[in-house]
Amino acid sequence: MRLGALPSIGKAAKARHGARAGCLPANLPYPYSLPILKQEDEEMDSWVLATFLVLTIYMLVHSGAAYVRRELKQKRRLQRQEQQQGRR
Amino acid sequence: MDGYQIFNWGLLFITFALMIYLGYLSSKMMEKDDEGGFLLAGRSLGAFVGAGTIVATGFSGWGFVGSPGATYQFGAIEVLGNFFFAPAMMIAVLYFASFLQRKAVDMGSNTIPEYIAQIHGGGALGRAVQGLAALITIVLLLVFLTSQIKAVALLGANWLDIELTNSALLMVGVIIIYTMLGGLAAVAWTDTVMVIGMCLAAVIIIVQMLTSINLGEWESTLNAIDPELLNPTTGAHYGDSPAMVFLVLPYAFLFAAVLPFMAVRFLAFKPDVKLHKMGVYVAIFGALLSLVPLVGLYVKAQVPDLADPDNAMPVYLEQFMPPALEGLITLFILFAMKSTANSLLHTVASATSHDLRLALFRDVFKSPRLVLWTNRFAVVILGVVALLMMLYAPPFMLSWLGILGTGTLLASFIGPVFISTFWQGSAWGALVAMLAGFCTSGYMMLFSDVGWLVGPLTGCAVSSITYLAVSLVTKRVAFQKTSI
Repeated sequence: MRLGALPSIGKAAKARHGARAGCLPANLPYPYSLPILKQEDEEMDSWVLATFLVLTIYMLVHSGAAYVRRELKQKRRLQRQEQQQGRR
Repeated sequence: MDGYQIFNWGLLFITFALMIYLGYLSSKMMEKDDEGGFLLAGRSLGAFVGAGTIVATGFSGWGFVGSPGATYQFGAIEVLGNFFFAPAMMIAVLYFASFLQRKAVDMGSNTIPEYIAQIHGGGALGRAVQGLAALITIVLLLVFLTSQIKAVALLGANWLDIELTNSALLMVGVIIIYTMLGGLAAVAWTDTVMVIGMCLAAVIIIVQMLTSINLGEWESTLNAIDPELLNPTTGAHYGDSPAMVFLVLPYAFLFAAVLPFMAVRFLAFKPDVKLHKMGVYVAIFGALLSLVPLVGLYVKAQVPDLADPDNAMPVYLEQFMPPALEGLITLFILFAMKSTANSLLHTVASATSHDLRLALFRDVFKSPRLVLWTNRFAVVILGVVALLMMLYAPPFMLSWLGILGTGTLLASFIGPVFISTFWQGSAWGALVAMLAGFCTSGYMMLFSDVGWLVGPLTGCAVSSITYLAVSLVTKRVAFQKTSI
């Protein structure tokens, strides 16, 4: 499984500092800069990181779904109580 | 002293002042309450503060320093392993906390050892159970607390360029002051402030990494160093098989649901708190903090020849962050360590001043004011003891005993805390299960080479079976509502 494409940003910086193949430059003079935002598809192939990403999204979705489900349940219960009180 | 050091000291004093102020505010709230005010924040924690304190306590300095180091050394599998603590906390909040909370409110339990004693019927045997649970908590968590103080002191000393002893005194002194003033409320409120800082640090780190490296280049660089880093065929430090990493989920769930310094928070929630809302906050905080270990992979690609993998985060901050942000993030890492240390100190102190006191001298200290000051005094004494242990104990033993401590405590308490919430066993079952879990996990971690996951999980299995078996053959007494 491949991780989804994310915008790639550091290519220009890498070219500027003449990275050698297989290893990025160790001490970039200004490595924390945000030089450009290039819209280019790049991917990272790792089953571990893919699992991490999928599980993170699942965790967030699950917590959100649990929230909506319980809120709706609570709302329905309140409505039922109000209806019962109205009948009396 | 240069400009950045003045900036760091300024940051430190502003946050210290904020924390002591929060301690003072919570002490005002506590004075109006009984002992539960100090031990359980008067059962006043709402969804946001509850989530903040759970996540801040669960994600210690390991998440910011140890885990990036392990990722640097073993690869992406550590990112996944560390992540499992986030869903584990969410599951504990959504599907377990309400059961524990409801029973604790019914029985009036103020601590986990007291909960264990009351749910098993109280009485003389209940006092023995409470005493043993308190002793195990004190012994195992005091060691863990010492290792956390050591970590805080080391980082603080490097950050402020001061002596280790002075750093330890400074950091622990503030923790003692606000914990002593406000008890669990102070711990929870400061934890919430700290978790916001920790999440902010995670966001800054992720933005910096993703905006300065190309994912494809990152992948090819890591693969050129070692293809196992991204696509492991073994479980690396988790075991022989990659599937071993998934064992972290049950371990982390029990960590969140059973360990006294985590589970006591469930007792401190407001009775009408919306746990599903808290679950959302926990998931968001956890997702953000789970991204931090990626720093290990970033540094591996940029600086592949570090002599000590544990330096991955310090090197990252030094080489890839502007100095002002480096200072700010170091402060947030200190927060991560301190938020665990203050929770440990509060739990160890309450096990001493509340649980041991009730187990040994039930009818002494009747005055609520005296009881409150006993609790506060215990915080000071145990804080000083942990500080002395940090200064004089051998450092290599501390970190190792920290791991031994949490795993063994987990194995000791699974039956009496977790199983008893759904199926009530006997006091004898609880006593024997605690000893069985303690001995099994302790023995396996000390004398066998099974690793930090298998030892405690085996201890949990033995302890659970013992709890069920002994409870079935001994007399089970219904839980008592009043304090033993």
